[in-house]
Amino acid sequence: MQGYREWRVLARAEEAPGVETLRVAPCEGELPRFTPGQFVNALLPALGPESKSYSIANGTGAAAFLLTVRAIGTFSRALCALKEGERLHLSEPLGYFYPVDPARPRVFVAGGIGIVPFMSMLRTERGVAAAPTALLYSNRTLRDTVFAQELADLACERKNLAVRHFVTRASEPHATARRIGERDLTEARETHRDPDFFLCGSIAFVRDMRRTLKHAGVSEDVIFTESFF
Amino acid sequence: MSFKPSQGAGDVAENGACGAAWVYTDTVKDHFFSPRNVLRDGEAFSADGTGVVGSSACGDMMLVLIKVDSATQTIEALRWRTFGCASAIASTSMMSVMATENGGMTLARAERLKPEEIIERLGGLPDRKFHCSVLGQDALREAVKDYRTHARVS
Repeated sequence: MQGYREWRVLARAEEAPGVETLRVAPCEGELPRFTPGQFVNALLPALGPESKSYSIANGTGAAAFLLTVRAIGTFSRALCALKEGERLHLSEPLGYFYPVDPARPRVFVAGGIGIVPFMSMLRTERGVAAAPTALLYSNRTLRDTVFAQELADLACERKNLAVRHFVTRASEPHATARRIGERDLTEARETHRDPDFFLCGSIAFVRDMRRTLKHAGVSEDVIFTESFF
Repeated sequence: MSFKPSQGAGDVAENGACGAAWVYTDTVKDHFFSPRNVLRDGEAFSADGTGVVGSSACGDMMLVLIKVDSATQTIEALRWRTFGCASAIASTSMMSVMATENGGMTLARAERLKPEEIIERLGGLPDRKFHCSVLGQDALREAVKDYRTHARVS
């Protein structure tokens, strides 16, 4: 298929109920270069010609790509069921969901599996100087929260990374039991001195967060969005 | 999810993702029946940047051509063609208006144009048609990228 290469599954691991990470590598040739925040289009020929997009989860410098996928539809369920050694087709890395100016402070706002592109950015920045970052991460419950321990470790390692969890269907320790609201975004904006806002999640989540930011007077120029559909 | 039927001109049905019938806004209908800035057959348009995204195999394909004022780095003119649905046509027509109105968008602004902004100007689209706005926006970004690549080379 034009524009696609064949890749093989090296390993698969469960991150949370219904969420798998596939570790994949090209069958031939080098791992492509990418910018954290980008995605690849995946094809499973047995399911037809329609591709689906998945954010790259690993940092740059990794020996393989990581695709963290929530199994919610026919395609994603088939992807999550792939076994070690099985093949899939991936495009080159695509997309523009990443900081244009890496020095500017930023607020990452993630809903559910929308955390994935931010994990790529945070993993890439591990151990190097990076801009002040706040992560507001919303899930139904802490049990659904992917990468919770890794995020806690990253926040311990990095003085300028603040991670805040929100849960919408439970009351949990160490998490705010409600949706992300205007006061949370405004507080992050004031703390981080006019940051860029990166929003990632479902169409409804991103739409809601963008509208909330606009209502708070945040300029369209500092809002970046990636909606999963 | 709430839903209300259209009451008349400009009224927008709420998100129809729950399966309820969607009523397209008058703006969407206007841009579908009278799309702006379409590249007509036989029209000569000398493009400074070209973006092509999608594939006919998937049912969506988009071509965007831009003419750039190199002094101000703004989009002077834009033409497009698509193999796609009514929402793709309306979305890209609206995108073309947004990119060229008020003297034209700067390239930097065009690169940051979001599908949510296009959908907002249209008065809304069903969530299942969100990807139609992404198609036009991606093609515009590719056209800007193409322009910047050639501008560096020449």
